[in-house]
Amino acid sequence: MARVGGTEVNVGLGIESTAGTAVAATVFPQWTEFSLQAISEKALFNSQRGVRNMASNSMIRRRYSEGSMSCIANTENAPYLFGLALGSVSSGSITDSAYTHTITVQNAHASMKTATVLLEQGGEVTERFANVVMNSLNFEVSDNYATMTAEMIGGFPDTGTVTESFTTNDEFAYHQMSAKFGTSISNANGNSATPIKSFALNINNNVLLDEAFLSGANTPTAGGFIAGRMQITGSYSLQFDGLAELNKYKANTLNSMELTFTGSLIGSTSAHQIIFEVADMVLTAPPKEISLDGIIILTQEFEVSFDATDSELTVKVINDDNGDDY
Amino acid sequence: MKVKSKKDIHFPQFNWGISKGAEVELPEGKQAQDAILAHPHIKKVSTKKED
Repeated sequence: MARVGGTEVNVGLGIESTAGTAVAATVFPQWTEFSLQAISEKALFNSQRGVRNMASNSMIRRRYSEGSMSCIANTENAPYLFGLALGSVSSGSITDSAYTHTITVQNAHASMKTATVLLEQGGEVTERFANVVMNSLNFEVSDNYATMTAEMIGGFPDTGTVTESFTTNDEFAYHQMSAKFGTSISNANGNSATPIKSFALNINNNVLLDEAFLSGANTPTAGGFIAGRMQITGSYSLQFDGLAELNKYKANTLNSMELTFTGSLIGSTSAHQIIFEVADMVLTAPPKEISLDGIIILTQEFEVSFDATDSELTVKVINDDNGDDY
Repeated sequence: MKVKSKKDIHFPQFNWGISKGAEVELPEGKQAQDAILAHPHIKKVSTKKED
């Protein structure tokens, strides 16, 4: 077998209609970091045996998969990763050559959206991971490309086939980002944009790994990954130029954000976009950073609180893919 | 058979790619043709004459 270079590792991803039933890949994220792999967790038999060596037998305790994938955010891969992280995707009909995919939180713990991840390694070995759920998704942007990092947990791989294809997309970066703040999402939408330096968002599903292993098999049951309580946290930073932003932290002011990435036109006015509607951001840490050689920067760390009108987080992706393949 | 694409797409396994809006002949080989035609953004170019 030939040695395999990292760039020869092709990753495909498809959304499963039945959890644990593998499907073909419909998107091929151009990853920057990848570590999803089989976990064969061992238990050592350390009982008395009449010899000094501690272990005298072993078994496979659990077989599953775990790891992460990072890629640059675009309107092709974002619906997949945010769909898996939040759980519910509603795709609209075509308008001005564009489709809007609205991604919201699915609140039923035992109905996590699952994916099949296919991994082709230099044309030599193809591993297929079904029943893959998103434990957490991190989104970060500062002065470069916007990066998504997905922490995944899934079934133990078997083999499969994949024919990768790579699409040229608008790979989003900080200069395509616009942030608006307000006391609600609709209020933020009507306000002017505020220049920010960075934005980070983490969606943590706190998957209950132990609940996926039941009697009869040492592999997770199909659809057996149960979401724990969801925690959405993050931060944004901006230059200090008055008390308004600082006072939000001091007074626990209702603080919502509409953050939009805009790329090339699809129709006459519609464009490739990712829109984050972050509801009530509770500012949790003292924000002021005073630099002797620089300027005062406010880094607002937040945790999202559920809001009766705006819920917690909605991600809208506008692209030219219909709901069948996002 | 010619195909047309809504996006720039590259199939490294078949050393074949297509640009957005271009009309390109499919490569030889059933495996390659089936895989390319299965892509949601690639469609056969109709050769049917319009009335």
